[in-house]
This record gives sequence, C-alpha cells and structure tokens, in this order.
Amino acid sequence: MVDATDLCYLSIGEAAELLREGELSPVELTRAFLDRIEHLDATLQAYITLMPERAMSDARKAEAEILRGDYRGPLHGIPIALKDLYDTKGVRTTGSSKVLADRVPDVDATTTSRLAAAGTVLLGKLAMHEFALGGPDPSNGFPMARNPWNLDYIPGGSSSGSGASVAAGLAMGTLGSCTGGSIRGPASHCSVVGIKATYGRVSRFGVLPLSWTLDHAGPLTWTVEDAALMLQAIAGYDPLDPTSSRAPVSDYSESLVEDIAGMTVGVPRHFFFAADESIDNDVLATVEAALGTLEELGAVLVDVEIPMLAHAGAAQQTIMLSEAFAYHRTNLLARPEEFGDMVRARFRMGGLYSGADYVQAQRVRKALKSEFAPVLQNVDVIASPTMSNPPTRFDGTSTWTTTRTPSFTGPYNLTGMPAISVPCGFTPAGLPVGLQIAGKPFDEPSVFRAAYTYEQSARLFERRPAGLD
Amino acid sequence: MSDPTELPMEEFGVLCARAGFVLTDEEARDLKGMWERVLPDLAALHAVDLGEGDLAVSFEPSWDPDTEAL
Repeated sequence: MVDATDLCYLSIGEAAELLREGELSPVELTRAFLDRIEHLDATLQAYITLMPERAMSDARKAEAEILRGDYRGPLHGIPIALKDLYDTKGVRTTGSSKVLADRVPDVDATTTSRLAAAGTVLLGKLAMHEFALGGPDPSNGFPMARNPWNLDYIPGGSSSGSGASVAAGLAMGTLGSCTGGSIRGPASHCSVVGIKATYGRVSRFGVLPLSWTLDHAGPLTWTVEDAALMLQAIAGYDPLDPTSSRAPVSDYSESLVEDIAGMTVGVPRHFFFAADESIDNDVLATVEAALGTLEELGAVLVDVEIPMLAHAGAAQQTIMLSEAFAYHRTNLLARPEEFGDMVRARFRMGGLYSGADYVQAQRVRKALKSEFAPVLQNVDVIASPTMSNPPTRFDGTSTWTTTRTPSFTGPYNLTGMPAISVPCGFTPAGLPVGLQIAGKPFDEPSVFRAAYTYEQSARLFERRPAGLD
Repeated sequence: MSDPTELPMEEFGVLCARAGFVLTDEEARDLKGMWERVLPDLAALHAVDLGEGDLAVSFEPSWDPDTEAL
C-alpha cells in the first residue's frame, strides 16, 4: 500500500507505469492530490482556482477508459495544473489580475485541449505574478505562492504556482509561460525541471500574452523524463497561432539516454561567470561543480564568446515592456487602479519607450542571434547557471528586484532557442540552484539528452522539501 | 552642476503625455525615478554600432543557424 504523500511524490513516468498496468487508479491518485492540496495550499498558496469536481470527473473518465483498454498514453490519468493564463473553457482565467477577475473563456487554449486529449486530469489554475510580470505583489489581491523549500522565500516567477506546486507534490506536472525566464526561473528556485522549447514549437493560442515576440509556453515537472512527456503532448503546429512552426516534432523519449560522451558544451564564461558583484558566488560554485560533472560524464567543455549578451538584458526589457504596454494600454489608461502596484509601474514604463528604442532593441536581438549562429555550429549545447542569484526573501522583493541582477534566461527568449533548467544543487543556505542547458533551434532532443544524463548522475530528484507534511 | 542621469521634469512630462498617462505628483516622481534608472542601459543599447544591420525577421519560427546569414 503506497501512502498518499508517496503517491503525490511519484514522477509522471512512475505513475504512468502503475496506471497503465492497472496497479493505480486515476481516481485514487487524484483524490490523493486534492487531499494534499486541501492540507497544504493554505500555506503554499499555489492555486488560484481549485477544480475538485472537474478533476474527479476527469479521473473517473480516465479510469473507465483505461479499464476498457483505451489507454491514451503516459499522461492518461495524470493530475496536472495550469498557470492561470491558459484559457480553460468555462473556467475563470484571470492572469492573477483584478482587471480580468471575472473573465471566463469560451474556448480552451490549444495547449489546454492537447493535454486534455492526452487524458490528463486538470486539478486547477495556478498562482502567478500579475500578467506574468513583476513579482509577488500583495496589492493585487491574488494568492502569492511560497517556496516549498523555505516559506520565507519566493518560488520565482512569473510561473510561481507552477514551480511551487510541482516541488510540493500538489501537481505532477504544470504549464508555465516564459517571456524572460518565467518557466526556468521558478524551476531553478523550486528545484524542479522546466523547459521552454524553440519559439514556434508550442502554440500560444489561448495564452494571455505579455510580449508576443518573446512569449513561450512550456512545462514544469519533477524530472526531465516528465518534461519530455509533457512537451510531447503540447508540441506541434497550430494554425490558430501565427508564429507556430510546421517543423516536424521529434520523439523526445528517444532522447532520454544517459550518453553525453563527446557532446560539446559551450560555456560563455565572460557573461554567465563574470566577476560581477550582482552574481551570487554560491550559485556559481554550484553550477561550476555541475559543469565538472558533465565533463566527468564525457562532455567536452568549450569556452565561447557572445559579446552581444552584454546588451541582451536591455534589449529584452525594451521589447517586453513596449509590447506589454501595447497590449494593456486601453485598460491601463482607463482603469489603472485595477492593476497591482508592481505591474502598473512596469507597464507604464513600457509606454515611455520610443519607436526608435524598440527598433534598436530588435536590431540588437538580431545581432545577438547572428553571434549565436556560428557558436551553435561548433557546440551541441550551451550551459550556464539558470539564475544569477538564489531566490530572495519575500520581504526583500520589490518591483525592480529582477531587473537589478543579470538575467541569465532572457537571452534565449530573444533568440528563441530551446532551454531547460535542471536542478543541480543547493546553496549553503539550502536554497535551490538550477543548471541551464540551451540548444540549437528545434534541437530539443540534445537539450533533453544532456539534461537527462546530468539528472541521472546528480539524482537531485530523490530530495523533496522537508517539513511540509 | 546637474546630474547627467536626471531627466528634467518637463521633458519627462512630455513622455507621459505622449503615453496618455494621468499621474499624481507622487506617481510621476516614482515613475521618473524608475525611468532614469533605465536610461543608461538604453543609451548603451543605442550606442551599439550595428552598421546597416536591419531589423529583418528577428522572430522567424523556423530559424536555422546553418543557414542564417551572419
């Protein structure tokens, strides 16, 4: 007999085996998650909307299908949750903002419907930073998810509930969204796996936008295998998203092999390991050790130079805030009081940039991609810390916290390259650290292979947050 | 001598008016302070010499590093 906590700490891959063999019921599994959420979420605040009736209905349906032999695949009967900016037909989708507090979409996001088609059980909608920007803001009146590893610390954002819920066993997999690091950041801060695939790989139809040219959708999970399973279900062309790519989708399960012998790993030390007092030394030491592990596993580390990275932060902010202002302008001018203090201030910043600023930022973005191109012809993947600093305390977080430290994730939103964060250790204070691995466009398989090989060696998935139960 | 990173309030007011903002004095002061923190990075961004490098298609979904013009 597996106890309820153990059920909630199964990986998707482990649970899928049990479900497929009939050794575990989707109803039993879903009930365990709902009970755990009821027990812990008052503290963790990972959910905005819990959907117990819908979840149990999904679970009963999955159980009946599996019993009669209609097994849909490894996500069938798996309890998941969505950041509250993924449209869910008939279910409130708020973007964690009073502006959209009563918004109920008429149709599902493409990703929502693809996960449903894969047989998942939807537990609910997750906490996030308002409109996927800023930080935890008590002025907006929505739950502020806490970091399961230390409740005094933020779980990262903007997909805060997506990271916290996976780490705490309140969902087996989640979707986050990422404009400058909002999938990889919470993944790093919560010691879970998060991947944003190549721009165009996953549909954004029905996902509230922050910045059209930078937004990506993607999963957060406990293991690399689980991330591959989730991405497989949502990847692929969508005629409803004008940026969707028709490039064929690989079978990501084939990438889950422990073999990086001879793989070339580029490390842009001049940027990610710079002598800069705004970069945390404990983070660098932890990631340095992870790079050593990659080398021991057979990878070849190569220093690479990408000078334009120095301007990536300014370009990313200029593009993101300008596009966000364009999207939110009408509401921001008509009813500014409905925005939280943090987001209102930052969206207003977006209105101050000039057209020339935006165009120059896009030109720098193009130059950055041109610098990456020859590097990517000589290396298989690029590795770095995911975040320049560990999570901050809630009482040390302000509107501009994230802009005062270098963004190590934003460059890959500019280039559109696939990038994953995989847990690689903890600081001496016990705060999680992530290893970021980026790859060539549409080469998610190499990213998964490197991350999986590292993960199987480091085995950080064996450690869960203490003191929650 | 005035601080080179400080923007005259009159000039900042023009930016706000162009954006359509109606701000209290306190909001204007706060936003101005935030904007002034961005200005050095923005100046550095404009100082990048890109020659005649054009905007091109900077978010082409099927971007391929093997064929991307350098």
